[in-house]
Amino acid sequence: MDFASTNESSQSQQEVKTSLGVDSGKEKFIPSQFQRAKVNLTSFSSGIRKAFKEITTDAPLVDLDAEIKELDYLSERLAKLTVDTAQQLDLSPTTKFASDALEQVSVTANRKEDQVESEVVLSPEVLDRRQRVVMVLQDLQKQAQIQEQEIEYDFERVYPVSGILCDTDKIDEHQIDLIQQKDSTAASFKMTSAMGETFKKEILPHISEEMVSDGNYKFPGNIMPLPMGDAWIIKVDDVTTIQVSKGAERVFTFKERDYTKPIRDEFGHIVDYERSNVTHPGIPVRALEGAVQIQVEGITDAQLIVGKIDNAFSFLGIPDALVTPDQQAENKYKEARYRWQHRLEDDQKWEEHKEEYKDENGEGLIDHLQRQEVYPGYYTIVDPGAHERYQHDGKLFLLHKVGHTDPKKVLPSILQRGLLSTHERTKRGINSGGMSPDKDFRSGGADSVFMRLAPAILSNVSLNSYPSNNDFHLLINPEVLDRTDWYAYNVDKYGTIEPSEFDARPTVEEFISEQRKSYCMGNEIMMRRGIPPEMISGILARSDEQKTTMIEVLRVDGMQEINGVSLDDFITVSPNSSLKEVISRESSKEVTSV
Amino acid sequence: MKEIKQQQPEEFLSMKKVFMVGSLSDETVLIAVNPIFDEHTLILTWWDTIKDRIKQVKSFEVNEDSILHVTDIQDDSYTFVPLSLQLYNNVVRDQLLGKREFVTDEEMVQAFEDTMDTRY
Repeated sequence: MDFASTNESSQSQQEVKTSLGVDSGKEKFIPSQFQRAKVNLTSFSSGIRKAFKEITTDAPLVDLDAEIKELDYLSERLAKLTVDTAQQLDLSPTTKFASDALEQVSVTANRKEDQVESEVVLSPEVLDRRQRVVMVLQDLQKQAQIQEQEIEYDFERVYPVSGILCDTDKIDEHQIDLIQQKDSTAASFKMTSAMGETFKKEILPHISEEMVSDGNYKFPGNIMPLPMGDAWIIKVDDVTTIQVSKGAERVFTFKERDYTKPIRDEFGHIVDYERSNVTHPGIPVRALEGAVQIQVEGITDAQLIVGKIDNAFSFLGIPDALVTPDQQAENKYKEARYRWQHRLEDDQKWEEHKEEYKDENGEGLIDHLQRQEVYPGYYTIVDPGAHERYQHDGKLFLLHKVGHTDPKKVLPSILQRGLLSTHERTKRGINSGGMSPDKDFRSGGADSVFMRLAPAILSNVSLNSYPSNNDFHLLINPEVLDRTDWYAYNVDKYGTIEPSEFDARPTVEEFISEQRKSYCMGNEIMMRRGIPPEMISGILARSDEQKTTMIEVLRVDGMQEINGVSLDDFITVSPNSSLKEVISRESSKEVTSV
Repeated sequence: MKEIKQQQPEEFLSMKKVFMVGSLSDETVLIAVNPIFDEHTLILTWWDTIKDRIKQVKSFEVNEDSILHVTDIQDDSYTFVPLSLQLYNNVVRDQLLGKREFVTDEEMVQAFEDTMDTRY
């Protein structure tokens, strides 16, 4: 029995193992090739022996007992090493002949097995859940094909990604991202922390050691593969690999530099620092905690790919991964998101909060919350109208600074694609040519797009306190604050989710109130995954010259207006002005809300 | 608290485009592209190849070793050292994802500046 037959019903973990053909006495998963070899050997042993006898009849100088012993030995090894690797054994001429016969039997068996596999009658539920994913994948494949015709260089390629709502309680955000890479397809997601623990303690120990190896969690990347922390690499079959991030790097000893003790060259320039041996405790890679990539290579048929992905989920102990969450699961997720954002960890406070909300608004909070696609292919829970509540005591502005060397390189893509977090860009194969450290992956900030909040009461903060020569600021529509997937710090903390900082983060209300009271330019809002172009409500340029260049660049790219606003109105010049001036100017404009 | 022995930070930071940033308490820093310091508002900003960083500075000093030392309002201390190719090879390169090699300072600086364009 191959993995394909394991997903036809939602089974408990033990049932899944049994259906995979696991020897319950050994308590180990058996890779499909081993399984196949065993099936072949068992089912066709009589055929092999018959073939062997025929061979030996035609081979006069044969010691039958010795050859049978060798065949038994060979069979044992085949069971361990798979039929494929057995071909590499150094066999005596006679057993080679027998092995060839065995291979013929195997080929026939594989064909039969494939035939049986293709004839497996899948339940309507399985067909339905797979078909939904197949359609998404086919669309991604089309996008990728169109893109291949349009791009000139590899680095221009951006892997198409689409999210699929899934699962009920084992996958973070109820979402799996399908990614159509250049030569492979990936399903990327994060396990919830509870599922991560289950995987480590209950699933991983039961996977055959031959199938699991240690390695780096790697993003394929357009320019180069990007290794990011450690992972378990599970080879499911010839075309399917699962990477499960360990969320950290191994403990290691290295020579740490002491930055207080520079080493200088003959001219007095610092060229290095003194070092001493330090045993590093292992660095967390927070943005990849629970991260999993299922990668299917070498096949292009969407049905087959989705079947492989579905099977891989069973292998991970999440057989119902592709099932769309029901209303109950969605309500549970709404509650979790809202409580996470508003720091309502205490059950009693949560109950009181819900009561208050209902009294004030006449509807239940959970009913009010909605799941929305807030970035193409990404869904989260939204609290419609929350941005108005947050601006009750005065208008809020959200800024995102864009530094660049040439507006042609960044401006059109920002306005077409919006803003993406480092992790999302990396998933799509976009990277900085390897010139960045992985520090935001380590802090956890890589999962978010960063913005800064500027309350309208600011008096003397100059935009040119931020500047470099070529930068400009994007104004982000405060409506984006309706999302419940963001968090904030009053100062620059690199979006860390390191528990000592994250558990002490302010609530939304505390953050806004603190910034109104005591504004800090380095405050930061971390918005998960991405901000769509529709939420960019304007650009603050530094000079008339910069504005003119921007307009030229956008017109060349075929853009005459942005979100229904003319380019002239969309781009505001703010040379040396204080934020207050800019903000009042912007306040007087009717910012188009999408 | 201002203790300026050799250069003003603005002048020091304008001499080079890329600096190595060190800190004993903040593990998130390594590279500063185009850092700018406003002595009036005491705001120090830079592009770190991933995002823009902003620190509200409490004290600063360019010392005799040509290193800018700053302490921010959270009492984190940072040192800014102009990044040479040798310093890149000895200290920075191993900490980057791509571990690229360069022949000249100019190539290296250009590669760091290009990170501003490749993020979108």
